[in-house]
Amino acid sequence: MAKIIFLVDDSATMLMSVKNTLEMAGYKVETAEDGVKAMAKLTAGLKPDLIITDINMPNMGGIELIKKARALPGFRFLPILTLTTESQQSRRDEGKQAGATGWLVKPVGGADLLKVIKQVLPGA
Amino acid sequence: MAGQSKNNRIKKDANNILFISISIILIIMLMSVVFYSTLDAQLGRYQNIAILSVVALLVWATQSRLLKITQKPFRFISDEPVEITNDKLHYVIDRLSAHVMQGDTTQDFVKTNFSEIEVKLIQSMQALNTQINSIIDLLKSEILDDSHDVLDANIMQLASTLTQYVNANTAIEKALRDNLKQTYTLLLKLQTQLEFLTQSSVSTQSLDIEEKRIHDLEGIVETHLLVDKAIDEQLQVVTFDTHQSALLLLDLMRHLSEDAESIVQYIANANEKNVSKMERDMDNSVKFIISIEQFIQKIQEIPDKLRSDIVSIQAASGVIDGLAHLVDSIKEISFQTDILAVNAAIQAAHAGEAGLGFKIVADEVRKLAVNSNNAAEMIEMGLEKARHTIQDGLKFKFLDEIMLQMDSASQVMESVKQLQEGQEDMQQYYKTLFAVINKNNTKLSHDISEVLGSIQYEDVVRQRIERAQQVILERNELWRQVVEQLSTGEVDGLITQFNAVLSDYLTKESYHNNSMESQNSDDSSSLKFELF
Repeated sequence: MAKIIFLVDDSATMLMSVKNTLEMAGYKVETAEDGVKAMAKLTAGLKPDLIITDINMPNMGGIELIKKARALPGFRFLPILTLTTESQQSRRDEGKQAGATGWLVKPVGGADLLKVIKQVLPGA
Repeated sequence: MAGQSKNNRIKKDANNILFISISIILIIMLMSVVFYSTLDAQLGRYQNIAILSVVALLVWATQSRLLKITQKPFRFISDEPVEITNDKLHYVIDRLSAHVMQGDTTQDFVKTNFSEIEVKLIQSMQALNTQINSIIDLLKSEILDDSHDVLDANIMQLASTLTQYVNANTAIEKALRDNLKQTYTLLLKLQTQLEFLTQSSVSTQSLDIEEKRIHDLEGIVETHLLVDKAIDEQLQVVTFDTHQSALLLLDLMRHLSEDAESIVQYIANANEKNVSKMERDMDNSVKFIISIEQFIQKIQEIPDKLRSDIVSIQAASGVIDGLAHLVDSIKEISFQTDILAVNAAIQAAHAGEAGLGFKIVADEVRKLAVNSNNAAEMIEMGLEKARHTIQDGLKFKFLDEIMLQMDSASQVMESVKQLQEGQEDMQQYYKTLFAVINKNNTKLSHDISEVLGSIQYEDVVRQRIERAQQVILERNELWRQVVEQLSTGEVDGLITQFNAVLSDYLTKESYHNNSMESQNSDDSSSLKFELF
């Protein structure tokens, strides 16, 4: 059974390119364009094995999405990675406090991304 | 407004006429003093003092006028009311910015012009001095006959020199005015337009307020330039990122192309070399399979043949056994005949001479019996030999059959072996092919996957441009406020807001990864991955 990765980013190119890489590696990928749409999918019953989210997004940003997702039943220990252009330590701390599992700074090569995913998704 | 401008010009012309008139009166006074001093020796001692006083007055008057010109604020007021539009405002602001940037150049220009003014003034003063000295010398010569004409000529010359001086002065004034006009045109144009907005008279504005406003505007323009500089720096990062990303993509595409090319080449070569071999192998395989079929057919025939051979052997053995019984019967007959012959001989002996003939018969019968027994034994031996011969014959026949089958079997084994080798070759070939394809596919997959990193630059660049667009919007909004507030009062508070916009922009930029800086940085914020 392929693991499901939920990808949240407002950039169409990011969604397309990361989705392709993950699908080529054998993952099933679900996508959303912002935090609001992501929360709608999660509350509608989507149960991903991993969430990868951007930080700066319209309507609802990544930090708020992580906080809201963590509050959902069954999402307490779900790995959530951020994939963002922001790199400052204060923002990383903010992400950590919100409940992020890891912080990835764009641009990330496919091999590196898959390496990090394997670290947070054992047996994947 | 036009009337006021005309009044100013009339006033200025009147001033000029007044200035020239005073100058002429002073010169006449000077000449009168000189003239009367020649008549009265007592007045002679005051001559030099008088001349020096007049020259001093002249110098003072010209300098005062010059100072008046240089200190006079220049006011550029459009004759026609100008309608303010955003485009026009932006145009003015842009020109203003450009002008502020060219401030140093303008200062240099002003300095150069002031030097020119100084040179021209010195030249004019020297000319004037020469003229006055020549008049004094003429007056001292006491040649009274010609003195009037000469004096007239000299006065005319002096007047001409003064005119030249005034012209030079006017030219200098004009140059200075042009220079000032060039320096402040845009600022004052903006100011004039704003004053039109307020519907108030320009004349009611004091110079101090205007200067303060200009100063504030310059402060805002400086911050504006800093914002532009910050945007420009980010745009340089954008250009760098785009360039790097393009180079990376090109490199990856080249790798992709090479890998794809090598795999296609390998498959093409493999096909060319192996197709004919595969065809030969397949032909051989078909032959081997046919021979195996034949062998199997022969093996299937063996049981029937064996059965018929066994039946024949059994029949032959039966016949031989039957013959053996017959030999036994002969032996029995021979034995009884012998006994009978022995009995006949006994009886013949009893009969004496009468039995002599019978004794001979009896002996002969006995010989016959012995011979019969010998014959029977010879038959028995012959039968036994025949049985052995049959059995041996059958045995050899089986061996031949087996040898034949063994040959076929070894041929089949050879065929099977060759088939197996062919199959192993094929397996090895496909194994290698798949290994090569797999290796190349892994490389292709890795290359394609790495393209992901490069494509992400698009997102990074897009966000950087969006932030620049945002700060430009905020800056333009502040410029609109500048326009509004200029008409009502102070604008210095907006400098703080401009600085806040700049600071906010720089803070936001500092949150983001700077690819140009992070390349050589060990800073923790440049970490690409961090697991909490």
